[in-house]
Amino acid sequence: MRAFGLQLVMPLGMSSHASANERDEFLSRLRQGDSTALGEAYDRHHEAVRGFARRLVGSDDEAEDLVHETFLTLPSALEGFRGMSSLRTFLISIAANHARHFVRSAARRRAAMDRFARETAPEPASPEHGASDRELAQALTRALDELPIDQRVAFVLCEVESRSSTEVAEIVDAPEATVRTRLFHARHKLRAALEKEGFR
Amino acid sequence: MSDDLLRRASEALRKSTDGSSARAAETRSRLVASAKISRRRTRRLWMAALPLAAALAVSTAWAGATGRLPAVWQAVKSLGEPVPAAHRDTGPAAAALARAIASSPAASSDTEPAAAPEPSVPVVSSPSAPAPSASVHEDAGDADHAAYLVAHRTHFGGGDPAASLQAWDGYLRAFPSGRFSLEARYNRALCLVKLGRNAEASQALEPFARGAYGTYRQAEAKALREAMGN
Repeated sequence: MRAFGLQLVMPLGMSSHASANERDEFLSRLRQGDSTALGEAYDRHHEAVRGFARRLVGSDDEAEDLVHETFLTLPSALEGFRGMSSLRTFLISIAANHARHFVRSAARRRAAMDRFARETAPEPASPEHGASDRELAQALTRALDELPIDQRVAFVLCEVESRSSTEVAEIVDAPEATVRTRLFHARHKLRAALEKEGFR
Repeated sequence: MSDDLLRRASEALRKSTDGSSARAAETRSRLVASAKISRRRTRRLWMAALPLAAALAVSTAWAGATGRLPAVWQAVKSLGEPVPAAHRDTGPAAAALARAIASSPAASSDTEPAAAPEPSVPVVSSPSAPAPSASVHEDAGDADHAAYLVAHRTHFGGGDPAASLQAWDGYLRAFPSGRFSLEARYNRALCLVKLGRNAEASQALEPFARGAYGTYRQAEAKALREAMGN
């Protein structure tokens, strides 16, 4: 929460010496679609956006496309930006809003690959004992594919990225109580899905 | 099953995914190029709209001052009458794509290239036309982009792999060396996978798996081909 408060003071993640004028000018250039400003915003925030996109989508290629679309949409999305949150938080919210079809596409391909793998590979050993971190991460991604997008976003932001429910509520533009409800249902379904795969 | 395992799984997912990528610079270049195109398009739209608005304002003022406003109004109204569907111009990109899709034999295609596509924007020219200027390059780029969007929407919006396959074939027929031909080829291969045409899919994925296009989709193409038994 303290970190979030800091972001409110320095909405663009700039140094404390950066003036409000510089910030406004930068935002204005971004709104006009200035490609240099867009490049600067990308340089500052692409890692955070890509990290979130990968965790949410579960595929590097679709995540890369989502990063591209997120930054490309930024100039027009900034019309609704009131500067109350950091630009990074705002970018994450754009990514969350645009994630739906990237998630669907990645999930479809994962399902197709799983189907092929099941047809060709021998029966895998039970993961009950000695499941590696990689297997766990893959199983969680597969389980996330079964969730509605809202619950998926809430789980990834709260549990995987360890964000506060206040921050998540701001990102998804929903009340905190709604975020907590989505998280509750997501946890319940994910537990069941992992159990079904033999994880204990 | 406890919360502990779910926590461990979340942590494993967090640790296995970070924000660094070998493709970060490539995405940046793509982003900056797209932003430039978009800005140029907006500027062109304004440049076309402003003189029209000025002409409309001047002519309305003139018609009002000379008492000819009712006659002008009638003329303007007649312009708004519906145009027969056959005469509607849907733009050069859509027309090119429609022609290509129409000439495509069912859902099969022979558009798989033998060599890697050129990254440059294709030049549109005809024997009688003068040497291509910068604006011709830009128009070709815009048409390429518009045609790609049509196929992209079919692929990600429709959910019908056969229709998507036709759309990608159409795009590749219209712009075999277009800016998005690489993406189009890969998406086309995915359509073949979804349609269960494994032999064709495997053949289409082979250049990607071999690394003919660098690391673009290489790992996934390899995994898909392995899953198909190649």
